[in-house]
Amino acid sequence: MPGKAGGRLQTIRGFYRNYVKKHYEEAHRFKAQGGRIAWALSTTPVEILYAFNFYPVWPENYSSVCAALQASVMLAERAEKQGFSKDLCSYCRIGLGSTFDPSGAPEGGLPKPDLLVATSCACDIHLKWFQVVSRKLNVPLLFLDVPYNKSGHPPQGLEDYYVKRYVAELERMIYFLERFTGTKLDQAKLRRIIELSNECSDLWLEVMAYRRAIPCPMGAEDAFSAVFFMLGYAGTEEAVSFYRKLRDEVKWRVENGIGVLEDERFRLAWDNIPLWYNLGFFDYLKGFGAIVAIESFSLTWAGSLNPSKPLESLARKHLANIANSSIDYKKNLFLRLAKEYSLDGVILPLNWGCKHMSIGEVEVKNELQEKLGVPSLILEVDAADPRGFIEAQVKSKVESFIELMKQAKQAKR
Amino acid sequence: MEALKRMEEGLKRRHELAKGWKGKGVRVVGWISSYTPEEIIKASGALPVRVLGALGATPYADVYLPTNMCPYLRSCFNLAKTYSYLDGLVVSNACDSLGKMFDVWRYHAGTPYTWMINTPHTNTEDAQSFFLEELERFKDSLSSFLKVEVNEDSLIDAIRVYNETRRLLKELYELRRMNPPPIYGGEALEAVLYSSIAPKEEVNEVLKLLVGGVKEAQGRVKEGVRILISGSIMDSKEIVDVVETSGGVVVADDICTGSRYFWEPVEEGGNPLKSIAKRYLNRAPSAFMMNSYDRFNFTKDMIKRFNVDAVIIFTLKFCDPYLMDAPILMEELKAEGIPALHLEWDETSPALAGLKTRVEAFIEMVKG
Repeated sequence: MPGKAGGRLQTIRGFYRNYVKKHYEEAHRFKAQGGRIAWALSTTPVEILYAFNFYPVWPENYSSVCAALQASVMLAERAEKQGFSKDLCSYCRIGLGSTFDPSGAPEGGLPKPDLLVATSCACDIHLKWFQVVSRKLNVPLLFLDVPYNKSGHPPQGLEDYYVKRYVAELERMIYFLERFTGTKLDQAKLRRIIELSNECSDLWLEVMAYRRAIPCPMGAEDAFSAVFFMLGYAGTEEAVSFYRKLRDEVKWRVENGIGVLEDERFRLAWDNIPLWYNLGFFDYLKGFGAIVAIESFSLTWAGSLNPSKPLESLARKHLANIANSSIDYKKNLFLRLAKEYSLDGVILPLNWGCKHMSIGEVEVKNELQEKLGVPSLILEVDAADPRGFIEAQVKSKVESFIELMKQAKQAKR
Repeated sequence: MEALKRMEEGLKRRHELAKGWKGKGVRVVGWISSYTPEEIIKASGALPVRVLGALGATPYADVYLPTNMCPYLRSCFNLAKTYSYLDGLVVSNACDSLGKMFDVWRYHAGTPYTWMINTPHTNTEDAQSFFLEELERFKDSLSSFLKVEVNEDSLIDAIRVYNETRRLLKELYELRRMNPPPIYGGEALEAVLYSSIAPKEEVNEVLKLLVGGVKEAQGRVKEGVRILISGSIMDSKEIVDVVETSGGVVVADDICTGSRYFWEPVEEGGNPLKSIAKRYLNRAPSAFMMNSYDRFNFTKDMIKRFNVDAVIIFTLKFCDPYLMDAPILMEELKAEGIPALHLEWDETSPALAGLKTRVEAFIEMVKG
């Protein structure tokens, strides 16, 4: 039944200009004024960096910005020329390229780091990437070794000695930062940051829960922008106030029966990251009446922390990250999402440079089909390097997939 | 040389041989990644065998695994049906792709027992105690699956046998310091591969024969440019043959199916499980480990020790840790004045002729 079409959310309008660009400018200013910049890769416990007054910048986010601004090929090629294989993670190649030579890069490149922080949580590449940056820029690297969540446990089901191991790594991080900055950790400050981070996470999860509504009030095109704070800036007042506004708008839409689309025909979930160089892809899907109602990526960065057990709860949150967990975890996640979000289909992009997140997509696809009769589409694409993207081929796959979902829906009736 | 023939045969007939042992009541446990402490499997009375792939297409793996991943692991999984005789499969999470491929193996291969050991990326004291806990749990889980007791004595015995294999392999490698070496690089690779798929008592016997035979065999290898091969895994010798039919002779390596498999022994005399944990975290590291420079230093030591003229880095396509390390290792070698070549290759579509052209050109250049 056709409803009222809301289109994209008001709160997200001008998101890049108002928030992302502003953050990069602020980071440059902070550095110029003598502040410390930490480059951090995803799954770094940013709350601890805040507690030591670092301004964190996220090279992976920067790579996605470069891709969205169509600068990724130029930068990736600068890394490839120095011997880094084209099959490597595109985020990494873009990041290295802009480190080797930032000329002409968006926002003039990233401000020079005082410290590099990475963990083994998301992938092997993170460590190696920053090892290269550390060598080229002569900047110290702090690396946290995180045990792999081989059983795919949720945060509360993890083995104690896994949690203990990561807590010890966080303690080592604090020990290092105390010496690096010459200041003791301010426990009260960390507690306050953790509280803000929690508030952020709760609001974000509330927004995600509202997206279960039919029609869906918020699509992936908005979620992949708005997740920016959750990804790297949770623990700030700015993030909390932004998510409060976002929550209010999404809530209002749901209470008034307003969806993104006027005629919502297919509800989808999206795994992995989007095609940053082609965000119009979501509009293309909308042309079929298909809305992406939820992304595994959006749920990856949220997680409640316990202010009275800051390190333990940070450890639990990150150990149970989707990238650090077995395929069981992903299968269970999508089975749950399919029910909660009344999904008609799932899109599973095989992000070319991201090998280990590509392994298991066939398992997710088969599981959804066998257990719930929900079809999936596996797309071989790269998230940030457009060179291998053949639009006509991808579109013909999407069209067949839409037909498949139509049939599956009819069969269920 | 008879010993070489036995090894070559053993490798070729490895599935048949393993099934033979199974017929005699020995349980067979496969393992992937040289961070898997085989001693524990051995101490349980089971036969540990390294899972190896094979050159060529991977139709079965294509059904379940994406194309943008480690060709070695794809090739191993492709043989999952061939490996249906395994009672167990044990892996260490020595790279992201192996971690996830382990799940796919669990889902489809039907291997009765499967286990993953979480290996830390570092060797700090805290990492050691975590790893020790992982080994305790693996030991308990394997013992309860096999319904056997693994105790200090059986671990000590296993360590002794394994250290003997390591000592003999090292002795064999040391002979390659001669110019020309008395044994081809391809043969040395097969000696190591054979050592990882046959019972160690048998391995030790054959290695003793081999070392003795090689000592007496002078002039069987033609002098050539002395090459060290660097990389992750080579599960068959074709790629080494490419080098050795192009004017090079492979005298040393820095790979997990070569020196990094056996270079360091387990300390004897202490708490055996603790010593095992220590050995595996302190061994010549693979690119999975946190500090790549530890590995580069090992490579440089080998270069000196074996009087190496040039290095060829063979990186398996899509192997992220090594692909990331390669440009830096190239820089490091350049700084030392050692000629080096980086090649990517894919055992699932080897294209050896193209590789050979590049290797020949490189060796010509080194000859000057």
